Amino acid sequence: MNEILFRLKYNSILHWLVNSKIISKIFNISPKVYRDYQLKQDLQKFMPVFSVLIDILRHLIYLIFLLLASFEAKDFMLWFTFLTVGGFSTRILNYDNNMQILFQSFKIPFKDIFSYRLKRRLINRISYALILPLGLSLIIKDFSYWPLMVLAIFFFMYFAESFTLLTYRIKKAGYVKYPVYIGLILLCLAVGFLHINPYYLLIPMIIYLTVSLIVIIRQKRMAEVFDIFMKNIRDVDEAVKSLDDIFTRETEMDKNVKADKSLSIIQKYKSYQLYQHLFLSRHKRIWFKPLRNLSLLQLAVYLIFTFLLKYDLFPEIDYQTVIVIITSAYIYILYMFDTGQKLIKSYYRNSDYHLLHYAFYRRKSEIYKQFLIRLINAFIFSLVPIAISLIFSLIWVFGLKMPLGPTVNFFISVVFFALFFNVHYLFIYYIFQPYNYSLDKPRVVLTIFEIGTYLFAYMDKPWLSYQYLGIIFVIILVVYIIISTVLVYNFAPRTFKYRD
Amino acid sequence: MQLRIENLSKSFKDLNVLIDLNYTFEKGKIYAILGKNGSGKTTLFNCIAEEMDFDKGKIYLDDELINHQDVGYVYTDPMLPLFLTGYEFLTFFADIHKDKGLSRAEVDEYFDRIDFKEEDRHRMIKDYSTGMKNKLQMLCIILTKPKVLLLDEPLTSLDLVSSMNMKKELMKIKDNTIMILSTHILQIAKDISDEIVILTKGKLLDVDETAEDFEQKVLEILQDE
Repeated sequence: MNEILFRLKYNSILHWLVNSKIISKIFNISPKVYRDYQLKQDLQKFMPVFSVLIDILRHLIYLIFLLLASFEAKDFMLWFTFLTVGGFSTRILNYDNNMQILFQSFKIPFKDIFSYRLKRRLINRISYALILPLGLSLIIKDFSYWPLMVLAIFFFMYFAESFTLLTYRIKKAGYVKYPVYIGLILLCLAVGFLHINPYYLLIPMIIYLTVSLIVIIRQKRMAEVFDIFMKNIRDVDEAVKSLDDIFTRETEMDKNVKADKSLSIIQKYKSYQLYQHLFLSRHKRIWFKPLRNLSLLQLAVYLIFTFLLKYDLFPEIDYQTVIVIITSAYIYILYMFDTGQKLIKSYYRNSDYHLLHYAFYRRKSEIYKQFLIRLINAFIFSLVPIAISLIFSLIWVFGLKMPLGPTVNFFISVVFFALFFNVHYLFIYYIFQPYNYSLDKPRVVLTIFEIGTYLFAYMDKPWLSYQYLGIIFVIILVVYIIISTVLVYNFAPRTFKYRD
Repeated sequence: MQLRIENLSKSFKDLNVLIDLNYTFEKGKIYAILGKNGSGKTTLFNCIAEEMDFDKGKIYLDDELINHQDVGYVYTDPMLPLFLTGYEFLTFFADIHKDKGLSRAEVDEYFDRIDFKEEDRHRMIKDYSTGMKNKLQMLCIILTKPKVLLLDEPLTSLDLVSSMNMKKELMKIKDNTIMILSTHILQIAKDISDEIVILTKGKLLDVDETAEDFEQKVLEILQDE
């Protein structure tokens, strides 16, 4: 088992070194280094020493960190609270990738794995108990806490393992776990704040030790320990899977899609129009729902504002300021819905990734054709918020005496941002194609654009009240669309490619 | 028509996959490339299809450098948009390839050629088995009659009947295409191909299929790697 664990760790370090371009160049590390079996064998002999040294190094770093944070005697209860927080669930039975390999791939008996981890954890705690309490006591020149700290370190090691075991079979374990958890933390904080002698904490610790030992000894729980281990492996596997799903779930096609109208759609549309129509009709969750919710939100805000204007509830109102607030809120909401980006992710994952494997789909003419259809769709999606804003702008100006200038600026701003948030990501997509199939490693360029868009959505926008803003927005939008379309036409055949 | 590969080299870090590879493939023949897992069959295909940059060498189709538009590539994992039905996809595909003589009016006829059941045509592709997806993908590529047809492990996931039908389809376009398939199954290579080529140590080697000890020779070459 030691040999397997050593090789796993050694190879993962080598993998990191070999794949790190700068380090591998500086130290001239070749991928052939994996094959140096003699070196592996030689180093393996020192593995236990390495492990202990790493433990010691970690604890020394922790000690230095506390030293830099100017740890004092009064902070002792804070340290104790952190120890409590960290000591609440099993470490020995925790899943880790190497353990799964030992158990599932190499079929190492569970008992061996358990005793190995128990031994490792104990060594780790001994190193911790030797370094930290003594180090801290020396630093603060107060040895009164030293015995309690050492006891606490070993108590919480036992507590983490035994509490997991004791609560495993309880049906609604949360009802027991969380009150104990919160209770212990509050107790630690109370002892600290009320300046109670911390040695009183030994009383609940001894009670817990006695009771839990009696319960555990009475019931033979090795099978239980094994079950917990297996459950932890399953839980982490599921967590990893759901983490992967996070990137892709939002791009999935609608559930319960029925193809019953397929033939009539085929008769109505041709070529890319057919393809795009079918795509959108089967991904309504991505564009229709956000559009509907955005429109409802917009209607609600506009109606409230119309009501305030109609009944003159704020006679001293500064229309310019109100318009700036509404426009800022609109930009923020558009950003939050993020329909443009979700849609292109879905274009990539559900459509383009597959079709880009076909030669025809990589032709300049085909890329451009498909791009234009999608651009028109992006315009159409923007029409709904634009239409709602137009109707209300007209009501405000002609029915409720809103000044014309700010209202025109407001309307043009809505047009600008509605279009911008829909077409911006489409351009980025065609010019940089930043995704891989799992959507989990976007290119840096996308991250930069995302940060820019994020800052823009959140930052203060006093310039929204500038009187010629409408004209500037129109110019920017037209120039942006023309330049981007020209770039897509010329560069997309080289940049619009699939990545695995 | 000839596909000429000259001094093609491709490596991944320290691993040299293709080393000064030279070979000429000719129209009207089906070539089967045999090789062990990881020998570089897919890498070679990716280089020919211009889906991967290579370190050195040239690939010509007759006297011109190859263009990815000349290549039809059937992947091991079928590449199809899963949100469509098979019928919708083939109709869309026919619309796009009108210039190659495809017509949406003949979509049912295309499906008949690969023995695709009527009800399956109108099911979502996401609900197809891998074999069905493979058939559909292969049909699409074959219909476009590419100058060079690359088939990466093409028949392994197909059942016997589908496999026979697919072979028939391949035979139909054989005369006007340079057809190269990769496989690690000797029987498939023997059944379908005119020439068997072995990819070993980064190079392509001809083997005489008619020789008595053919299988033994192939094994020796592959084991020697």
